[in-house]
Amino acid sequence: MFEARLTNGVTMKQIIESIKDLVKDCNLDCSEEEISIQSMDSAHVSLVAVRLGAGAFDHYRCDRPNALGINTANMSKIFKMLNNDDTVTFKAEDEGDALTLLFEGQKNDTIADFELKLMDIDYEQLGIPDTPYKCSIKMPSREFERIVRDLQVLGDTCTISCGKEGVRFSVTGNIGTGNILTRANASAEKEKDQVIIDMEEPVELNFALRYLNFFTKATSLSDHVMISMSPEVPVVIEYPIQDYGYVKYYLAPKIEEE
Amino acid sequence: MSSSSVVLDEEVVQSNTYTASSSSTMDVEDYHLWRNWVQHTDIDHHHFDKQQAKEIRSALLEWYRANRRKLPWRGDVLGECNGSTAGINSNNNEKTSKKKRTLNDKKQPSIKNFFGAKTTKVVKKEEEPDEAPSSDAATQQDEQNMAIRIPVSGYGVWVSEIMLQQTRVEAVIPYWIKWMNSFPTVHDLAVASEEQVNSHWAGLGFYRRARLLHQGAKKVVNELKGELPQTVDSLMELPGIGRYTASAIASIAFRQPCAVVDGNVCRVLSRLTGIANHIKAPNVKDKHGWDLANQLILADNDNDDADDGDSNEKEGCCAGEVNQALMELGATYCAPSGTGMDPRDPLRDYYFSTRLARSYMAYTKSPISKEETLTPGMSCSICDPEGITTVVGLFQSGITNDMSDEQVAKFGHATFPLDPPKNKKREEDLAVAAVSTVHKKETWWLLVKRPPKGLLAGQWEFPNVIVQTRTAKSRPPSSKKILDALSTMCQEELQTGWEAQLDPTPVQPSPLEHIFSHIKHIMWVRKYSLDVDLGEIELDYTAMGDREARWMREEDMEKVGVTSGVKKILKAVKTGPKKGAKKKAVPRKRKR
Repeated sequence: MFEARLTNGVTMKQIIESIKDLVKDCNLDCSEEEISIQSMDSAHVSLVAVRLGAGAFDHYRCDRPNALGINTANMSKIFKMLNNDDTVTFKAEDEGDALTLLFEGQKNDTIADFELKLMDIDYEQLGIPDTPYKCSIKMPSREFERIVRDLQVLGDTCTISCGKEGVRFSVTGNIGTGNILTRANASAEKEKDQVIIDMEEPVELNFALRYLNFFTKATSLSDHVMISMSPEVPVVIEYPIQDYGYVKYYLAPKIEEE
Repeated sequence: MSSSSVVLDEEVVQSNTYTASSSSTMDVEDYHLWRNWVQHTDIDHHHFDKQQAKEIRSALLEWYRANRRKLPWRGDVLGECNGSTAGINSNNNEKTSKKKRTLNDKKQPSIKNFFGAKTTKVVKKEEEPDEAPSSDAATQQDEQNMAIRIPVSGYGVWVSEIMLQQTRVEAVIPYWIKWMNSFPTVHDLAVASEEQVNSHWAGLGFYRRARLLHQGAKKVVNELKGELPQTVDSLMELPGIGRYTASAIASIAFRQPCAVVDGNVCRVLSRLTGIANHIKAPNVKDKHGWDLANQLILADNDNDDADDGDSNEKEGCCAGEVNQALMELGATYCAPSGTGMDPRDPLRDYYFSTRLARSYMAYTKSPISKEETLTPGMSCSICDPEGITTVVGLFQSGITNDMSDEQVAKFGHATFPLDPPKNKKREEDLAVAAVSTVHKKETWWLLVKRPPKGLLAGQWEFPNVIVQTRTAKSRPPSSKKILDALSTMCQEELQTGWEAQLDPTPVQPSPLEHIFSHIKHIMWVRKYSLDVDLGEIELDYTAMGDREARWMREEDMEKVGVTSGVKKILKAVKTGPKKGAKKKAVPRKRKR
């Protein structure tokens, strides 16, 4: 038996929105401590990892680990019906083939329940090494979203270089080139405007903007985004969900051919 | 003094460059080439001379070995196969594509290159610890799947060649890999059920191919001890294998020295030897095209070319590669849009088409053109009787004096092969009944099996009836006509008795279109919802004469493998009426 009640139901809606363009089908892996999702996109270029700890829920019970296979598009359709202040309750039997979702309005005047059929999804979990990164950047998520959106008009590959003075996002395309430099400003008044760069050595990597754009769908989950890079390994773009969890995207850097 | 010697030097240099660039400069192109060609009356004119055939053959081989596409049935690593011709496309916007390449010469690796798989977290499989090693192996196999090669075999080539008929390479690759995983040998295919085979073919079209392939496999196993024949003649005795497929299998898989001729090869031949005909003409594609291609295949490569190194090379030993090179060239640099001038085109020095146009230019400039009138030959057995006259007309109207040498050459190249005579596809208006009922909360659809012969033989489809075959004058059928046709069909052929319960609204205001190679179906879909509980209806029964009928859920349809036409209708029925429904046409064309 799995049962979980999330007062802030819109968080789940935002999580689904943040992965549905990237991932078609995935498992909601429920364990005693957390709900997690790990999936690659269909081209196997990027990987998304979601964690929502039991602490995020005001009631959480999971008797035994359970993988709930869902179609993200269908899940998203159901969550479209959720009001922003609704509470969501998830229920699933251990051997069941459906996930029950209960949406309750704040004033307890409406209750909607949905039953979503589950799928058997074969997915091999990838092991993500827990290594320290040479650069990590914390910046406002809206800012990152804007940069990615703006640079897309110029080309499809973005070079992210992190140096002492700041992070530079550069694109070279058929019509020309563009550079956006974001300077570190750890002393900004409001915390959400801060840009903090923690750097051991400069790193420069190339990425497909198409994917970066997919990742910015998680912007509404968090005020800031953490970008971590090391040479020749996938970048991690993390949107923390308060203290309870995160949506993390991993993207393989483009490499020079031959 | 000194100035005159400079002039002299320049002249020397110029004449040197002329001889060096052989016959490809206009000034040297002899007008006799044009004169002889226009007046030729015999197929001998098109034959390759031995030296030329050798040169073409080695140019093709060299190019093919360096540039060929990565394809799974050629024994390439699965993960690297995309079949794309993008890298070697012959588009005219050469500059932009070059620029693009320099900008985007970065490769996008998979995330799997960085993160290893771990299988322990698969929650559901924990219950069977005994089977852990095998399931482990299975997942590992999946993971490495894209890194393995499937060795070239007669069976694999056979499957690929059948799939490639009328279908693009890019579309075939995933089907072929899936097929070879499910039916790795001819024995596996022979014991498979018809529905298994169909479900693997679903979406590829021309389902007859799958049935014949299946029958062929059974014949190989039952009558030939599971050994695929190796010669063209014996291969042709298998169902579904004609001369083309037999030659392809024999030359690629069994190294038989025989030519393979398809449309692409005919185009290359037409441009190489100046065949004034269209490539679908039977005397080109079924007859003399083969003779010409054989001249290339059999062009002996070992005697004179000592520098080739491979002294053991026997006559026609690389036939498979030469054949594939010709086909691939026809799909890339020598595609209809090819220019014949691309520096990367391995045969650019050998095209008769470009030389002919230049020679025509030289002819019009020479005094002789004013003195004589050429009579185009009519009796060459590979050219169309009117073909030469057509080319003369095209050149006269299309080549003008102010054109550059390059433009003239490109025009000549584009003239060959001639355009085929146009005939329009037959268009049929079809009334389709999407009959559904709800049983145990699931939607069941009524499907009938098509007759065992003809279009889409033996495939499942929604009950339908042809309302009319369109002619130039006919207009779309009225909705009354459609409903009448449907209710007649329900009463007389389905013998259901529930035709009264039809929902008269169309599923889409505009009809769905489905295009086959020779027919276009315009489908007017009407939805029927039944209140009858399925408990009271038989799941299988016989309707529409002696055709099988069956109630199916969507997952059942997937199991039996329904055609993309049926999927299209189902999608439309499920989404209901929509404004400005998208028309989607899927023209299939073989490109390789």
